[in-house]
Amino acid sequence: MLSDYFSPKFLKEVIICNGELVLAVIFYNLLGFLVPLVRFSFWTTIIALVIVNLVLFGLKFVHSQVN
Amino acid sequence: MNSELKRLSLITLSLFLVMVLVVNVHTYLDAGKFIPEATCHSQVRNVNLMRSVNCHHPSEHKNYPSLAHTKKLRLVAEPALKRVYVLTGSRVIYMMHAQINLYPQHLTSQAKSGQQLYQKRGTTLVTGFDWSEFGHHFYFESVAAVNQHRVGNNWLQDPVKVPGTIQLSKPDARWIQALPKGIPIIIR
Repeated sequence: MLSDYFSPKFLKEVIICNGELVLAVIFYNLLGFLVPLVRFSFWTTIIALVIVNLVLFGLKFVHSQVN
Repeated sequence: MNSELKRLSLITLSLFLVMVLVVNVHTYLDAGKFIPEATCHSQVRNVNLMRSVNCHHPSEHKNYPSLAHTKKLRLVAEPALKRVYVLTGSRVIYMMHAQINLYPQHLTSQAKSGQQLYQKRGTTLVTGFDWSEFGHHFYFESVAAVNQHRVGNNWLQDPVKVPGTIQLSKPDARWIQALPKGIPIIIR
């Protein structure tokens, strides 16, 4: 049933986006050594991943329903 | 890169930037995470450089600054955050993980130090190394053993509360022995 809404191509794209997010967090945390920005802890990164995935899957679900 | 992937990447990056903004604004507005004696950005910069608690390692990923010729030097101990801040003026130059066993008061350093210190509290014998005195018989020290049992690496997880002491890691305690006489130490 889920495969009706989320194709394997979409899932691959979400995995790529997750990888981009993890890389972004790593570079941001490295930047924290130079600039006084609050670093992301491990659990903050996990919460960020959960939020982003919820938003991406949610948007795709709504888009599928509308179409 | 196809258009859908570009769109998803843009959404991901936008959400990430929003989260960065939220985390930074939330942290900078949270007064409980900062001491008023120093600027917020210098505290955040030093927190970013802090290592995990280990009694054999320094508290930060950087070299110890020199204490000898630093102007407007003072120390602020915050028991709630388990940290000692080393300030020059209103800028934090070093931050140390610490167990603070003192009531709020203003003290000064005595430039008296030594290698080993034994403290007895009831039936508990605490062995401390690299002690330095401040105030009247208050000590910076590194706790090595309790009743002849070595303390674990993360000594803050289950700290030994010896009254009149500020417990630091071994390298930090050795460094703070170089504190000149008469430096203000504020226990918050």
